[in-house]
Amino acid sequence: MKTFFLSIYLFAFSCLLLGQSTTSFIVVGENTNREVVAKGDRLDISKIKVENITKSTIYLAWETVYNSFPKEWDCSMCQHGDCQIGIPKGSEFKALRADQQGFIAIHVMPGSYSGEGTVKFKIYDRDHPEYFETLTFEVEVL
Amino acid sequence: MKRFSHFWWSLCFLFVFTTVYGQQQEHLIIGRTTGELSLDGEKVRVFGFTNTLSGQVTLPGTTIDVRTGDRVVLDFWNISQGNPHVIFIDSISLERRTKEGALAEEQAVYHMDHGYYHFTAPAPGTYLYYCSENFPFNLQAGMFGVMIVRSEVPVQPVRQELLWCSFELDLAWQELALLETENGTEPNEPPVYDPEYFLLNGRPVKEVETLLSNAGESTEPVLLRLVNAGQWQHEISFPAAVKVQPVSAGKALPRTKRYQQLILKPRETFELLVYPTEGDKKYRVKYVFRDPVSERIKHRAFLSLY
Repeated sequence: MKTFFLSIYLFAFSCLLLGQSTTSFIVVGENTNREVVAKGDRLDISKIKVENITKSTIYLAWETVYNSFPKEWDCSMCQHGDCQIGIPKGSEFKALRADQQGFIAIHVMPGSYSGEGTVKFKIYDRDHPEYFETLTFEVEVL
Repeated sequence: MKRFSHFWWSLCFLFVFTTVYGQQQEHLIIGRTTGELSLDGEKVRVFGFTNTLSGQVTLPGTTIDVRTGDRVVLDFWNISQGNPHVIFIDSISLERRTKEGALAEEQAVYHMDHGYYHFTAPAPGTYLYYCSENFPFNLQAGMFGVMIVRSEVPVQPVRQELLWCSFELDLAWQELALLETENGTEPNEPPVYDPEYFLLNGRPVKEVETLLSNAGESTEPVLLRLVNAGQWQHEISFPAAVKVQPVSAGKALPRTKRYQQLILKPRETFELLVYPTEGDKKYRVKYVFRDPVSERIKHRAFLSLY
């Protein structure tokens, strides 16, 4: 009996610990966007949203972990709070309040260059970097 | 037969007229609030207008180059979060339309929106375009560029054409522009305008070494397009020995024994022909930034002409 209660206690404690280390945010919808653009046209915006699922403010950070966009393409990205020039190595979101949604978006002007490319962003809570999501944008220019 | 040939002549004229004169010119202008300028080894955040997604902001921003009579469409793509921005040109009426051509309800363009500003290119000259929202903070933060309107036929052959766009930067005002753009916080009482940086084409004016390239054998003048994008009065003094001639008739520069001086008020532009000097004598141009309220000179620089 004693062992049984001890097991229950340990299980509950583990759940609590796991709960603390699990995510403070989720990806809204798919974590991969696939876009097709005609040559000479432009991709105004492709956006993936994330949501704060805690009851407090969180600070999300992101890093570019993969970028195979052809160098001829002119592109940039925005994160919740700021729009970057080009696609930098990383930055941070503006504070995300409880239940608030944020986003990462890309913009591409391929000019006359057809081809395909993928960019991946690792996104994580600054205070709990052990948990992360990867947001992927695949773009094909025909 | 005669009538027939008149018809064809008219048709030809119409064809040439519509293809050469009054063409539609579309220019992409991207609004930015996260530009960076390197000044005295420090990174200074600036706003601005570019025409690429990955290109850094320059001061002035992307140049619009059109011919008089052209129907111009500025495709303003606002890629900056927070409050909206707008394109404005003093003395030109811009009509904001949707992509499909319908009249838009408001002039301002929000984040990730496009605003299509339609107008007919006016008389030849140099014009400053800028963001008039939250005026003058967004302009002061760097949201400006230059539009050049050319005549159909060049009035005067020139060997070189240069833009000198002078500007000051007050970092405290820069901060106010950021606050307003990002948080919607409008300043109650802006601090006294007290710029730290004085720029010519985006570089500290003191770092600009030579203004014009050597004339060599050429006797043709250089066309200078002078623009004051700042808040203060800019005074540009040319040595009296250098022949300068305003492009517009009846606008002679006031002369003293040593100098002929051009005074540019905020957002004012001027075109000047500068003729090559004879001999090897070095001439210097004086650039002065003057506070129009106190009338005190805040910054002065001497630059080599050739």
